[in-house]
Amino acid sequence: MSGISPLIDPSLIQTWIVCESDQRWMTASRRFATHLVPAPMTVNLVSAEPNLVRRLLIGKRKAVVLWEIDGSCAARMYDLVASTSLGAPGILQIVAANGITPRDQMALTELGVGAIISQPEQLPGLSNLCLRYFK
Amino acid sequence: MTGDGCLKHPPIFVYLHPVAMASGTKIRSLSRLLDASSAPLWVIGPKGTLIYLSAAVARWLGIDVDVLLDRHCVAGTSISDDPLDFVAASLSPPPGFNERGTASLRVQPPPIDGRKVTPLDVRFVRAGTASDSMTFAIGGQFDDAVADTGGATEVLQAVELRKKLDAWRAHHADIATIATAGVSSQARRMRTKLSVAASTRTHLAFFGPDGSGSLSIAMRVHQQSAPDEPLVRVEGPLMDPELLDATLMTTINQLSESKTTRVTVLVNELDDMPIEAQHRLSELLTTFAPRLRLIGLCTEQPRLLCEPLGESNDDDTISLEPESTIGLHPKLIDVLSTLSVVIDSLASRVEDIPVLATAALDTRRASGDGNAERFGRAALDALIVYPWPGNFEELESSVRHAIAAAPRESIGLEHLPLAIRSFRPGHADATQRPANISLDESVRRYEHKIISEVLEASDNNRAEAARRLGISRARLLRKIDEMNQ
Repeated sequence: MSGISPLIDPSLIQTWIVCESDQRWMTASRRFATHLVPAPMTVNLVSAEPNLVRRLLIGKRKAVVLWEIDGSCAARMYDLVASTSLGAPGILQIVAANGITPRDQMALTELGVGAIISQPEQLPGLSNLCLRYFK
Repeated sequence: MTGDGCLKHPPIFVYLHPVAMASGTKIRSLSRLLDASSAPLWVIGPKGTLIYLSAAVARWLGIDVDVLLDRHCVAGTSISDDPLDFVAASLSPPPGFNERGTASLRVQPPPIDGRKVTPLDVRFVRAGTASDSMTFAIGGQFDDAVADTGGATEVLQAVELRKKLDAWRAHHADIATIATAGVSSQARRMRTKLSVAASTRTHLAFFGPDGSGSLSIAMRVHQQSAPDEPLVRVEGPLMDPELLDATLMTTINQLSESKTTRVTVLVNELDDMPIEAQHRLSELLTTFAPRLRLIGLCTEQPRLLCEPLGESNDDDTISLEPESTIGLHPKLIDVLSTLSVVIDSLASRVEDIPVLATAALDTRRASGDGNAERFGRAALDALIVYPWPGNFEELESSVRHAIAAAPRESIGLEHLPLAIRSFRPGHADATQRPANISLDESVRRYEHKIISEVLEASDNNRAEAARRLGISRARLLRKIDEMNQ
């Protein structure tokens, strides 16, 4: 087991919560999230139901929440994004949304969303944002 | 009509047998109107070739459109290097058209004779069934264009990818090998450097991992920067000074005999070329400068271009640091530092993967390999998370596999190669390839481990350990001596 220490400093483990209906963004996060935190930090990926996200964030100063938003439940998700921003203002929220209007994008930005993406290939492009956030 | 309500010329209805109704009215008057119209219109025939282009198309493109007739107009990509084939291909309908029979696209032809062509919004409409269908393309703005694309997200994304590719083809027609396509900053940087490389004849180094397509890019740059100049390809790792001389003998003779002859040497895997051969190559470059040009393909990153290997020796003694990770002779480093192009690995250009895959798909489709015209979103997702250890060449072969496996217009996850569709991120990092592993050293370490374990199990009784290992005691003692050295 070369190169792997049996003891990992818990402060180096960053929580990355994915809240989606399928596995698409979890798969993408597994592939790219480790490159979005500065070394020697590592990522603990958690898939969560929308209403459990707040509970998972208790006691966390820094974490990433990736919300998948589609047209069917947009209003409810906007509420969750807003309440997360109010309850845990230090959390970096990323919204994965397809076909979102510029007006909705503006609204999400006002609600405290750090980035809005639509496809998994855009995830690595958030490296500057995430690296600055975790430093 | 006359005052008494009777028709002055009563219509004559002539019954025609259905077989006799095979021809319509003459098209001459329509043709005149079409040519007089300001709206560009062209027609693609059942075989996918251009069969009609109106006068407005000629005005829009600025060429005599007769030269475009009968050229293939499919998949957005050319079937040859002929610039007119590129123009014809750019007039093809977007993905999703075959299924729906109608589509909109902003058509962006490549520059013609160095002159840019204004993009044009075009509505494509299919007439007829699959076997004898024709496609009518009409330039202009149509109000239903947004509604047309709104329903199918996948098709909409495919159309967006086609627009990106058309823009890339229009702006980089001279260096348009597929590997240079993309929207990432790495792709843009690479294209900028390639534009410089294509515009000047100078020594040139390409640094890219295996499978990055550097050879095809280098060939294209050579064609652009030194057209009609002979190119000699050399396999670097196979060379020694004598073999290099033998390989380049004709070239050397030509260069010696004529002071106007120019030749380019393209060395594959230059950083794996024996250092003596590199030394000889640098001598030839000095002797025949500037008429002998070097294009070197290297696999390692150009770290040492800024930090030369060791000290350059005045007495021409060849020196290479044993721990060097890149085997370039200092003189060659000097030569190649003029201009170098870095081709990043596909894993670091994730943003480009959909565009690259679509470009590769277009190429395969244009050459008649299959019917698929776009990737389904699940297939694109799988391509994105895959780490591509074989880089661009692996992507190309995967697309070739997928288009052969896909029976319809869209490539699904199930049509991708098993390695890609079964890849699960978060397990072993597939980008990690065993590199620089010494077989002898690995075997020696394994041997020492076994011997140590058997010795321990035998309470350090060497005769017993030799018996257990099935070797003679003398041989075991020699092995132990090696271990202790």
